[in-house]
Amino acid sequence: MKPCNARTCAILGAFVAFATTATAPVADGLISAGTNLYGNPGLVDMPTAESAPDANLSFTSAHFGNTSRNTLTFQITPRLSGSFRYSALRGYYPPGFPDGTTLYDRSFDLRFRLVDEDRQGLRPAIVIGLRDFMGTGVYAGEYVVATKSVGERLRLTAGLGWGRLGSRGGFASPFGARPPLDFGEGGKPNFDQWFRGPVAAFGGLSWQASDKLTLKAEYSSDEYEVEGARGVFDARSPWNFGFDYQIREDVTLSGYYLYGNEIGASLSFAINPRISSVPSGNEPAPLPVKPRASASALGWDTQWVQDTSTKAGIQQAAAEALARDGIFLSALALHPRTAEVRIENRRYMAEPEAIGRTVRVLTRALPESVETITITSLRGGVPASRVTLSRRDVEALEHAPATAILSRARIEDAAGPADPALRQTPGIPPRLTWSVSPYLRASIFDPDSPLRADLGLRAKARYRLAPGLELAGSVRKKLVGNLDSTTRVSDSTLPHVRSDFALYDKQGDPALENLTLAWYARPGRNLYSRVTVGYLEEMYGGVSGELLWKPVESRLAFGAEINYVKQRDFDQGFGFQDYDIAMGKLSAYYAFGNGFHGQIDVGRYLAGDWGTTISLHREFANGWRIGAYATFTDVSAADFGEGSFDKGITLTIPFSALTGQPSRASSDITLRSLTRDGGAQLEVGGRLYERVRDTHRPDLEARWGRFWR
Amino acid sequence: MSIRRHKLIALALAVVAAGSLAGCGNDPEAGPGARLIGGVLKSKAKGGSGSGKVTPANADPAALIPIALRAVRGPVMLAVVESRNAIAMMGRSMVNGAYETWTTASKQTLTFKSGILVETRGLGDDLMHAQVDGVAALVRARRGGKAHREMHFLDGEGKTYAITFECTVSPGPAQALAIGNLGISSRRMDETCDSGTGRSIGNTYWVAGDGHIWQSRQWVSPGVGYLVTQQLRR
Repeated sequence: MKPCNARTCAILGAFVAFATTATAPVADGLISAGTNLYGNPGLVDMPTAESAPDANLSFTSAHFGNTSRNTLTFQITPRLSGSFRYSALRGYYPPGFPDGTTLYDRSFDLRFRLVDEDRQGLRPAIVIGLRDFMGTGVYAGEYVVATKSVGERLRLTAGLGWGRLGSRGGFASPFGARPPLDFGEGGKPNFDQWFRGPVAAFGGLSWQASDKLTLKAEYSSDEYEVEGARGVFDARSPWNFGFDYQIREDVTLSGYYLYGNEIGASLSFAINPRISSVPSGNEPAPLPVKPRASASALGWDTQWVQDTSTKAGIQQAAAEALARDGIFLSALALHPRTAEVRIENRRYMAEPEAIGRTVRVLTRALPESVETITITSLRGGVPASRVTLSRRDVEALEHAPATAILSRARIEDAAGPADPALRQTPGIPPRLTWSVSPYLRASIFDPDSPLRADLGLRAKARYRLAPGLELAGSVRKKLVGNLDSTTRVSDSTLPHVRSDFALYDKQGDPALENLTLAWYARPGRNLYSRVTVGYLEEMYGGVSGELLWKPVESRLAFGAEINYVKQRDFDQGFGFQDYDIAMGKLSAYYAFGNGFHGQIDVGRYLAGDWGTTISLHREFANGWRIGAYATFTDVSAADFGEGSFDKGITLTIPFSALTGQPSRASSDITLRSLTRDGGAQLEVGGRLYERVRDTHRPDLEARWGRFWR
Repeated sequence: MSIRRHKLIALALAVVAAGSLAGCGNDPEAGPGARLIGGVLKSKAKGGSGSGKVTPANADPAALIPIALRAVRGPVMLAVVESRNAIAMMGRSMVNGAYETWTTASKQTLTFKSGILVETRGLGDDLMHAQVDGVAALVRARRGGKAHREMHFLDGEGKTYAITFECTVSPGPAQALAIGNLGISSRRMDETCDSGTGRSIGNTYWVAGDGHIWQSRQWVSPGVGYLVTQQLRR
């Protein structure tokens, strides 16, 4: 037989690989980690019907000629993905234009996979997409695209595009003419534009040359009309070529030859909240359960109950063992047959892990006659929920699946009068907690300087006067940074409740971030309350009261918050300005149970405007949260200014998921297109729902797999 | 034109900041310090086997054995995570019914039921639970046959998932083991398992006449791979 040369060998190898894997189970979606110049699954500039893996979060920074596009894409469900993009088109405006010659533009995309590919048959995957579907619509285009894999390496794509994607070789307008775009202040969906105007065909192919390298070629239906007319970019040819090179599993570098006259490059980073290199964490093993000697069938001695020094010794020993696990045993009530401990979990994102560790330590510390163990989870010294376990079950089910002990656990509201036998552990938890740590504050999307940042030190302290009553404060001092270099001044016609942020940045060094006295309590079953007074946040001080109704079993909760606040001085010292407002909201919270979580707020906002905020998140048991919100108030789009209404993307990143070390800390990021005065909320700390919900059944169940971890 | 801005603590920057600057204080919820980053690098390199008494495999294990036997009272086991080049000496810390839990100096534990690994804690991708009764009965009887095996793990989100295997246990040759000064005659038992979803594992046990497993090579989890154990003292 004639030996094959390099190329035919590769093809032969691919064929063999295909033949040997053809019997593997059919994948439902056509998965691809690669992204195009728009940060979506795609070829070069055109989309494909591929999807990123479920829950994949990618950031793509793409550059060619005078254009830069930075895109964050989240695979919201296996079929649906959303993107947020911040682009710069240099030279878009003529020289001498007051705001500079560069157009900075934000855009949002949505893509939905209508049809899954049939690997063995002929049916391709089909995706329908809206690109830049609201606002100024610089990149506005809609498409329907089909992709079919041929073997393991080749994927063929063909699609139809409207808008920009119908600008080259448009052959018909099946859904009528595209009306002229009237975007007003921008930021609103342009329903009347979608799928209107000429439609054009695009297509291409990708060839996975090796595990790391994919080659791509496409015919683009985007003429770059506007860029051509304005001299930003000239598309001479419809043909584009590119490669994706996977540097690491989560980093891809791409290079392109574009439209016959330009080269481009992009770098893409991906992270998936559902994937971890240390899924069970690096924390040390728990102490094993110490089973009681089974010989004591005659009954255990309960004489120890009389002896208070024994009780104190038991409590001290258990508290010390638990403190090593980051759990504070705040109080213990010990009876001959039952015991209740009250704990504050300061280490584990999953409350069941703290409960599981606590009960194991107690099997070693408690006298053998104690059969029923109740563990009450405290939040700021206030009881939230309690889990009651039989010691016999704990001994018998230690090595069973975690669901076995869950089905034997009683989970209840911990409100109500405390057991008179409860004895506080001296010095636990410590009354004073404090920290000094570095901080980073950043500002993006200011066209004068799209990225500004400050780096400095922040000191925080919290002093507990009594359970539920705490004094807390935070001060920061900038070390280096340029947040104070913002020169733009607010042109808002509303009260400047948020838009003067630059003045706070400029004058607030050092800044008293907050200084509050807060009282948390349980007014009744299913009820939680908070009253906070003082310097509540960076820009406001005053008084804030909140009441939450949240049954321990429920996925639904309601809250009410009422605040009277006064605007603080720009220097963030102790002084106030003239503006004050009474505001507040009613909230409904619902955990859908499939990882999605919704919240609706209705009320009065900082500028005195009335309206509603709707937010939807996808949550992960490990603490990741990715979501979006929008606020609609009675402030008109014209009064609100650019963007028409407040909206944004929120991201919560738990440190434990990044580092593998146990921690309850996480980083909250809000990507808000603009900071304006309409629909502005108060940012008071200690809001009740997030404070207590992880001790309630829905969250406990979602994380119960870590009970024996 | 209006002012545009909003706060962003970019992920990358946060990680860089956290990695280069350590915080201080007594508030465990304050946030990460350099310590955390150091931890994960170590875990990647060494797979979660913290420092402690875990010794690199290139140290001479033979030299460690007498030291361990002197230092630990009661049963002693040597455990090696193959993929991580890490050796640990373990003492038996708890017996709960048929389950024996062994602990390293760096607070990692292995739990065995009748000599078959059923749990690990502190290895990064832990085996949370295993149902191995059928396998154990065959292996300890040094008999061939078919058995079912179910293993539970945590996924990246922290939720439980299970892999179930159909396993074949087959007796291998008789082999003499030299364990410390002991000479033990054992039979090698091989267990090959297939999940039916593309995962195959193979475990090996060296079993004495009384059914005691003196030495083994057992699969732990997708992230840990294989664990080799040798019991030095019963």
